[in-house]
Amino acid sequence: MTRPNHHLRLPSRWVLILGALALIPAGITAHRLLWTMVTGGEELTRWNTVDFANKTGMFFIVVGGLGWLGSVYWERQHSTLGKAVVGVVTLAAVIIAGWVMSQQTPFNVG
Amino acid sequence: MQSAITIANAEADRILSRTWQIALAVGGLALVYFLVMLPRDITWVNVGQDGADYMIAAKYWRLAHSTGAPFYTVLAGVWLRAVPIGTDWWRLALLSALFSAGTAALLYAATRNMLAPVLFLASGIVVSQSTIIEVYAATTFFIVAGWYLHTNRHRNWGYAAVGLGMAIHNLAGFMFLALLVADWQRQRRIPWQHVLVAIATSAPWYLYLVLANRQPYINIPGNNPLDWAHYFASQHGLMGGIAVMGSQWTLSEDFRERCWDAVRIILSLGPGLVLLVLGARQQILKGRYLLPIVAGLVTLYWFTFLDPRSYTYMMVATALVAVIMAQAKVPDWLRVITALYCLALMGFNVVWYDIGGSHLDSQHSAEAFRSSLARLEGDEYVWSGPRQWEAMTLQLYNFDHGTNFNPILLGPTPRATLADLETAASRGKLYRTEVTDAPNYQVRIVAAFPMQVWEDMKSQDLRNYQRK
Repeated sequence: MTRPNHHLRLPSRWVLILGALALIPAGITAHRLLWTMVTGGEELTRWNTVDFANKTGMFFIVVGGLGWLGSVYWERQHSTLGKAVVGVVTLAAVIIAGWVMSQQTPFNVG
Repeated sequence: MQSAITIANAEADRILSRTWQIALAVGGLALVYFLVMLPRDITWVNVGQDGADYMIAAKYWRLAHSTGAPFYTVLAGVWLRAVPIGTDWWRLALLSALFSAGTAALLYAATRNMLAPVLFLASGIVVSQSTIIEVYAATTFFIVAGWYLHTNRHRNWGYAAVGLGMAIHNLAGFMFLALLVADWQRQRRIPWQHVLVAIATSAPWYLYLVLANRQPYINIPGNNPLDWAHYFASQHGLMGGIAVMGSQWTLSEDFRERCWDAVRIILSLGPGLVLLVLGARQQILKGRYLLPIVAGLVTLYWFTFLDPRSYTYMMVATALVAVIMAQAKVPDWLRVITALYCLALMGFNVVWYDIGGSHLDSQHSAEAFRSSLARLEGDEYVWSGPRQWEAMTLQLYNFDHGTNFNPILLGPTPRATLADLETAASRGKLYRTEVTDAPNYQVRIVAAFPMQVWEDMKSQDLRNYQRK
């Protein structure tokens, strides 16, 4: 089912014009600066500085994903008890997943 | 009534035919655009460090690095033998250009709007990956083809295209899962037929890996099940591997660099950014989640990947975002401004991304490196640190010229012990590569000391890494 078209109302004409015009020089500058990245100009210096610290990215993805899943089920609950149960289960899942991941070998490429 | 339907069908056929004629012209022009920028021979630029690896796989029917890209390897192998002109390197780079030209044509056909292919072609990421030997142009083509066919109710063909994409790169899995969820939402049951089609078009290609794996082993230590397990799992640590926090209260250098990369990628859309914001909002409000979600997931995948060079994944997101932007309901003047902006960027690209031209690889660094190998006897140990593109160039040289250089590759079975290095040094056969000009990939081969190489090897061997 689609929503009515008034949700698709555009910002004012002047906001669009000013935004688009301001983004032209910013875009050209960014495109030129991007060149050094995509042609590999920064590659040799960067790869030597990569910090093999921990899998924080994965940590946030998993924990965030569990939290999001919990929020979906939390919204579907109609009773206070239901919401409380989902909240507690989600919190427990987030804590357990975070704890398990923090115990894992941080980097395993060989 | 019957005649009205007949007339309507004839009109629809005429429009479809005209759309494909224009799409073909767009593809042709895009191919010419890429042809201007192709390298004449071997190159390492545009983060094309896997080029030599894919060349060995295609030219000698070997195994590329995990996850193997078997469909690409077979296709590239056939293409290499079928095209009679140009160097090997130019031919495979041409294959990338063809796939991207095909994607540009598909983008026009899908949107019936010139803005989509122009946005795609103007992107620095797209250009950089469409002129070298890499799998991302092909992967993007099959992902876009899969989405286009699926959207136009050719669902099985859509899954087949995505299946071929999955036989190249795991990025196609994002589109496969998205199509699956979309079909499940519509039918309220798992579309097993479509799943089987995708599996049938992707899985058989992986048999190639088993057939191609033989001595001397490359990218895999051997041929037993544990070796295969290691092969397929070898890069999983890169996924989501970026460190967000450097110490307790500071953001890591990698994370700050990644944010800077993201800013450049997003801002380079210029006025198109307005179209993206409005277009994505409109798609979501209309309940069309597929493109924004897949583009968003691919972006998140790149953003959290450990290796900074994985910006190449954003080629897929760029193609999908181009559709969102082209379909945005905005005033015509905004489309015109964006199109003109993109055409200006394409003019910039032709000059600045021309491999071997005055701004990029003008000194043909990889060719120079390859020439320097001819001055050695051919059985030396050459240590190139973490710069695997140099090591794989040595491997390619071995295959092409029958030499026996030992590039001392790191991995589960290091190709050299300290004793090996000392023996090689005593015979004057231990070398290392030294970067003389990093932005231009200039390196030279110099004599090395065993302990120097050994310590460097240990520091680069990721298995020796300890938590900080």
